[in-house]
This record gives sequence, C-alpha cells and structure tokens, in this order.
Amino acid sequence: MSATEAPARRPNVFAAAEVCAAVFACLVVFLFLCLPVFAIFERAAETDFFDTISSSTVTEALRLSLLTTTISLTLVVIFGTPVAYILARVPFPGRDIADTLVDLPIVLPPAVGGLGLLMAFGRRGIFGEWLDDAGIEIAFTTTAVVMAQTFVASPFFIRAAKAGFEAVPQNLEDVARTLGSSRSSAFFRVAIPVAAPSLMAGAVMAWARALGEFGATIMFAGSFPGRTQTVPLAIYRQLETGVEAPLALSAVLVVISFVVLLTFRLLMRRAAFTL
Amino acid sequence: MKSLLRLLWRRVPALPAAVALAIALSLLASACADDVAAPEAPTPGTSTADPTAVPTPEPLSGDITVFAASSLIQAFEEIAVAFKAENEATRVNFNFAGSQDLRTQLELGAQADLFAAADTRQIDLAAESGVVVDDHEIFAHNRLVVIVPKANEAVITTLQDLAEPGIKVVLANVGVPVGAYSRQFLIKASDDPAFGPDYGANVLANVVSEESNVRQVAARIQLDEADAGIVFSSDVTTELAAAVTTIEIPDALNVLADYPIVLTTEAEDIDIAEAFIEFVLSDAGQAILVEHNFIGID
Amino acid sequence: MLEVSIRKSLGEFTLDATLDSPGGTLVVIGPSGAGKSMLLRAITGVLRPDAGRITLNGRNLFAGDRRLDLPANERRIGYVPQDFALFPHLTVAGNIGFGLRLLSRSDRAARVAEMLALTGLESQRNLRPAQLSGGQKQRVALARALAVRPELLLLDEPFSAVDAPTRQTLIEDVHRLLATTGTPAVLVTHDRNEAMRLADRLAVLISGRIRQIGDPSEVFSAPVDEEVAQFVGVEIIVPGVVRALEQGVALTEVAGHTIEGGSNVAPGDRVLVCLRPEDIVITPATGGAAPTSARNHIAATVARITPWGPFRRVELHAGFPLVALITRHAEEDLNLAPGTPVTATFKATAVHLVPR
Repeated sequence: MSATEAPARRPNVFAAAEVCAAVFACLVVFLFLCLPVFAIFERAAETDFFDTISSSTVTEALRLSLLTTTISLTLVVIFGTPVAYILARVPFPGRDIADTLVDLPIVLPPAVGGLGLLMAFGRRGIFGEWLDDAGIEIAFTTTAVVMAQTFVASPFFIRAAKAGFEAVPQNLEDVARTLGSSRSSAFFRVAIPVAAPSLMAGAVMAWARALGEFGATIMFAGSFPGRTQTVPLAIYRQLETGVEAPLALSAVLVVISFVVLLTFRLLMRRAAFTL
Repeated sequence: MKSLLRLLWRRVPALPAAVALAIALSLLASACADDVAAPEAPTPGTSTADPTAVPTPEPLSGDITVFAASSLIQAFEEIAVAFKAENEATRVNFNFAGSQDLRTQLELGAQADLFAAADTRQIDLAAESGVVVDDHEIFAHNRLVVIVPKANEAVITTLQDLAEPGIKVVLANVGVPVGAYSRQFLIKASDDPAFGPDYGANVLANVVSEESNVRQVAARIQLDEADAGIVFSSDVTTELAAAVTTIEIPDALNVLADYPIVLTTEAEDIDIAEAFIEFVLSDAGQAILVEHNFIGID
Repeated sequence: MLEVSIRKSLGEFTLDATLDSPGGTLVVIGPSGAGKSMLLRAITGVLRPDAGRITLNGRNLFAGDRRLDLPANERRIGYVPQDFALFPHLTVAGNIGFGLRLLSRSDRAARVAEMLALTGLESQRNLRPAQLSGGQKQRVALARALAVRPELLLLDEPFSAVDAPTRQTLIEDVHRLLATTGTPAVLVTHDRNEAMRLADRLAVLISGRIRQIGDPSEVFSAPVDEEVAQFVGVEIIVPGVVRALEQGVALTEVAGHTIEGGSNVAPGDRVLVCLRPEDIVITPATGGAAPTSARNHIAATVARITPWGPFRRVELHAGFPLVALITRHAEEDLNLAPGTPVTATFKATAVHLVPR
C-alpha cells in the first residue's frame, strides 16, 4: 500500500446540485428583472405606438423630464462634489452627523421629502414665506420639480463621490502640492481625475433617481402638463384613461435610460485606469 | 447522519435558501388565509316547525372589500361602524382613492366586492370593461363648493375672483369626477353674463396643479399652498372648515353629482355586499351621509 | 542648508527632532514607527508641527513662534513618498511634467525630455504607471520631483518597495542623480546598507527623537547610547583602499594595517571595512602565536572597557577604532585593563567591504 493514496472523490451529485442551484438563481433574477421591461415593449408594440409617441402628452412629459433631470444633475454635481470632498478629507466636529444628514433623503419615503420641501419652501413655509413676500413663488413651478429631484438624488451622488475621494491616496495630493499645486489646483488636477469613475457612477445613479422621482415631485410641485408633469407623473395620470400613453412613455424611458447607461459604461471603460 | 446533513447544508448553497423560502412562503400563506368564519350559532326560535312562520335569516358573517371615492372617507367609515353594529360577524375593508384610480385598479385585476364612485361616468366605464355589473344604485348626491384658505391673502370673495390673473387655482384633473364636475361648472358659468364668456378659460389658465383626487385638492388649500380650489360640499369636514372659508356656488351654476354604488363582477360575499348597499340606502345610512354634508336621495 | 527643530504630537506619539544638513545627502535612519515619515511630511509642509522652526537656505519655512507656515506649494521641496504616488491618470511624461505648468509648452517639453534622458525612461514616456515595474516607477517619481529643480529633495524609504536585485541598481541611480543635479537630499530608511552607501551625514531617529547625528562612520562605530547601538549594530566601519586581490580575497590597507577579507572588489577601490565586535578575538600580546586559520592579527592596546549586559565592550586603539565583545570571564582571565597590549584577531570571513 503506498503511503500517499488519492483522496476519496467527492460525490458528483453535490457538484451537480451546486450548478443547478446557481443556474436556477440566475434564471430567476434575470427573468424577474427582464420580464417587466420586455413586457412593456411587447404590449407597446400592440398599440399605435408611433402615434402616441408624437402626442403632446408624451412629448411634453419627456421634454420636461429630460430638461429637469439635466438641471438637477448639474446642480447635484456642482454642489455635491466639493461637499463630498470635504466629507472625505476634512475632519471637522460633527462630521458623522453631517454624513448622516446627507444620507437621509435616501431613507426617507419620497412623500416625506415632498412634504418637507413644502413645509420649507411652500408659500407658508419657513423659508418660503420670505420668498413669497419677495414675490418669488416656488411651489407648482418647474423650479419645484428640479428642487424635488435634487433633494432625492443628491445623496446618491455624494455617497459615491465621497467613496471615490476617500479612495484617492492622500499621498497623491501631497505630492501635487510639493510640485507647486495649490490646494484647489490639486483638487482639480489630481483628486477629481483619479476619483472620476466613482463620480461618474454617482452621477448616473443620481440622474436615474431624479428621472424616476414621483412622490416628492407630486407633493411639492403638483402635477400640471408641460410645467410639472414629468414622465412618472404623466404615466400615473394617463393610466386613468388607458394604457397606451403609459406604455409609450415607459418604453421611451427604458430606451433612453438604457442608452445613457450604456454610454456611461463605455466612457468609463475608456477612461479607466488602475491605481 | 448529522455529518451528512452538515455536508449537504454546506455543499448545496441553494438548500438553506430553499428552506428559508419555504418558511417564508408558509408564513405568508397563513397570514393571507381568510379568517375561519365563526361557526354559525343556531338561530333561536326555530325549533318548532311552524309552517306559517317566516324563518329568521341567518346572521351574516364574513368580509367585504369596498372601493370608494375619496370624498366618501369619513361618511363610509361611520357607515361601516354602524353596519358592523348590526352585523357583528362582518367586517368591511375599504380602499379609498380617486374614482378613476379605483376603476383602473379593478380593470387591472384588483379584487373588490363593491364600487362606490363620485360620478356615474366611472361606473359606466367600469361596466363597459366588465368589472362591475350593469345595475347600479344612486345612494347620494353632492354639490360643488369653492374653498379658499382662511388667511385668504389673495382676497377671493366672489366666484368671479377666481378668474383674476395671478390667482393660483387647484382643481382635480379632468379624469376625476370632481374635476369633471368643476369644468362643467366653469362651462355653465361662462354662459352666464354675470361671468362672461372668458370666465372658464381664465380660471383654467390659473390652474397650477391638477390633483388625482378631491382630498388632495382640499389639502392644498388647507396648507395654504394655493389660493382657491373646488371640492364637494361634503369635503368641508369640521377639520377642513377650521382652515378654509367656503364660497357657495348657486344651484343654477352648480352640478348635482350622482354617487352610484354597484356590485363588482368578482364579488365574493354577495350577501354581505347587498346588505351593505341596503344599509347605505336605508334611513340610518342616509342620515349618516347627510350628517357629512352629502345630499340624500329622496 | 537645512535646519529643522520641530515638535509634533499625534495621539500618544511625539516627534521632537532637531537636525541640520549643510548640503549633500542626509540619511535619517531608524526603526519603523520612529517618526521618519512624519518628519519628512513636516518638512514638506503637508503636516504642520506644533512648534519649532524649519529653515532652508536661510528661508524660514515654518516658525511656530511667529505663526509662519509656508504652504507646501511654496517651499520648493521635492517629495518622493514610499509608494511613489505616481498620478495614475497621467503618462510618464505627464507625471514628470506635472509641476512644470508655469513654463511655456516648449520649455516644458524640453525639461521633460531632459529628465527622461537623465533617468533612462525615454522609451516609457507614454506608458501609464500601472504598466511600469517597481524600479521604473521609482525613477519616474524621482524625475518628477527633480524636474522642478527643488532646493531640497525628500525621499521616504525609496528602496523598500523594490525587489532586492533592483535595489542595488536603484541605489546607484539615486546616488548618481543626486550628484549630477547637485540636489541636497534628506533620505529616510531603516536599512543600514543604504545609509552607508548614500549618506554624507547620518542621523538616527528612534521613538521620535534624533539620538545622534554626524559623520556616518562616526555614528556607526561610536553610537551614543545603547538604543542607537542596538539599532545600528555595534559595528566597526573604517575606510580603506584595496591594495590587491589574492585568490579572490581582497587585501585592504587600513591605517597602516593590511586587512584580509572580502571580495567583489578591484585593486584601487576605496572601501569601508565592516566588522562586528562579536567577531573580534582578543589574545594576549605575547610573541609566537599558535597557527590559526584566522588571517588577521592586529596589534592594539586596550583603550576602554565598558559593561555591556553580561559582556564587556572593549575599545581598542589600533590606528583605527576597533571594538571587541568578550565575556566578563574572559576579561578577568586575560587581566585586561586600559593600556594592556593585545592582539585583535579575526577571520577573513568576518570582513565585509562596502564600496565608498
């Protein structure tokens, strides 16, 4: 008998069971994720799709959604980037509380966010009252839509940006400074490019959240075609009269979202590098 | 044996998940299971076989689901309490929303026994889609009023003021019964020389938001987010009355809203559902509706 | 001319360091956790000391009493951190040119080309840091720092992230670069060989304090206290010149004596002869020593004997400093006292030569 024997072979049935379980799980997930989207297109194809698309209800809602989400995203990125950087780099008293506050809109139901915005910026709101006296009214305007979207979407960007900045080794900025860069120059020339993939991923998530925003919008901005009725609000409203317009809106939204996400992914891959 | 189980547990990752899933599903199933109906107690006084005696009906037991328009919230909840007092073994579950939303939900497959809407249009559409039976009963009427915030900084005192430029008006959207009624009022007013032909258009130009049910319209005014809104007179509850001022709309311009109630085609407990309709139509039910500022049927 | 005298507390650790360097390369040697990186970061300006003063070429960079703290980007001090900190989103050329933004495009290109040539990186100019080897990254970091012509260059453990074979080449490269560009430097390391090769001046930093600073051979051979000695290793390091190579073994002349031992050198090489006191055997200076395999016998006189735990540290005069470590027993048996003539014996295999 040789001193080293081959180890007893594992029973095949367990390996097969593992594979089955894995395949099963994948199937379930993909079906669950893809079937609703596929169903929308399938049903949309049965309707007068192109007529509906060109109807003013659909085009107005799409135009409004694209306009407002672009503005919201711009605001979120412009204001969120320095905030994320400060949260990542500067230890100040109460930073944990600030961190939690920034995350709050994610956890709050959108309706709560909407109510809060109303209480703050509505006509009788804490801040809104002063604005009202100055003749500035925000509720029921497109501005309100942008504010609602910005409110719910900013945590998504700030969290991702903060993680991105935290992953930039402090050494890089230190060296940049010894090479003559001021603090802000090091921020723009080193921190941002190195954190760029996270920033972009955060921007995509924020844009997606803003696009789908419903609860806070309907409460704070109301629902009025062309002015505040974004695509989600339009879908909800149009469902009362039939499924055609909602299907058309949904299908277009899926296509736009897919294209944007894919574009971002390709862009990120080209700009990607390893640290 | 134990080691084999341990081996299985670790080597087949789906197994723990499957077990967890099974537990979860059985819990869910038990939660959804209908309550076991209490066994019917033998009715007293039927032991003697008297051929001329009318048999006392067995007490009703079971649950029904009622889809009802938002304007009916307080009235129907009180009616349900009174109904339960008479029929102890029953329970009435409600789903309140804009009538058009309820119809859409029924069309998309939601289960209910009764549908009570704020106009006949929604019931007709529902009948067309085959989710309710054809016969409906009108059980109440309602009329429109204009409400303005108590502070009334826009100083709206007459109906004509609604057309003033810069006024913020909130209506329900045209698919909601009260929204359709509001526009009927505007059309009637535009025919009236006291308002002028542009009245309706001007008021509509002042609309800043179109809500999906009448309670949302009321909320906007209650929170003083807008200057004026059109709701049902029944919506001016004591709570709302504390925050708003009402401006009456004269009968000639007003709309008499018809509130129909109808069985759905998927109704399960038809006996209880019909008993509920009867109760709503009865003196007791009508009294409650009138108490909540509805107009009873005669 | 660099003068540093600073104090900085971080948690339980306090750095309280005073050092100076007239130019050339100052090597700060010390165990990990001694505060070496902290010291460098304070000099660069990214870490603010609690108190003290930092002066470079007569310019005050930091003066705690006068609340003066020149920002890092105005100090003209280059910095090569331990992990090189190359900008991953820029090419080699981009990295090197990073600090040259104020130059015109053509000037910048010329300077970058110059640094690429100096560090032998021309063929890598368009690669990204991720595509470089450790040694190449090191050279890019150096080129980048030197491109802006700093008045002082700080290097934090520059060779620790590189494998052993590359290390030797790199050490020579750094030596050559610093000499060619004439840049004064402060280099921090825990490796004594690197210190010996590169230091014009040597400082020992242990637990946040500079224990000793001075000529490298002085520090190595005459450690000021036990902790320093334990870190530098009580070693004998004396300069000499290789006279000949016999059968692969070098004969080096040191202060009139010939020391046999060591290899990989050529006649004429200037070297440092390194010996460990544990390898020195003291025999009484009686004539007619019995033949042994030990090749080196140096006549010496006992200069001083100090206790060293259970041992005795015997310092000897031999024309150059020699130290032997013997037991107390041996000291008694041999009747050693200051002035006693002895012979210091050691094997050729105990000799270690470091090119100078």
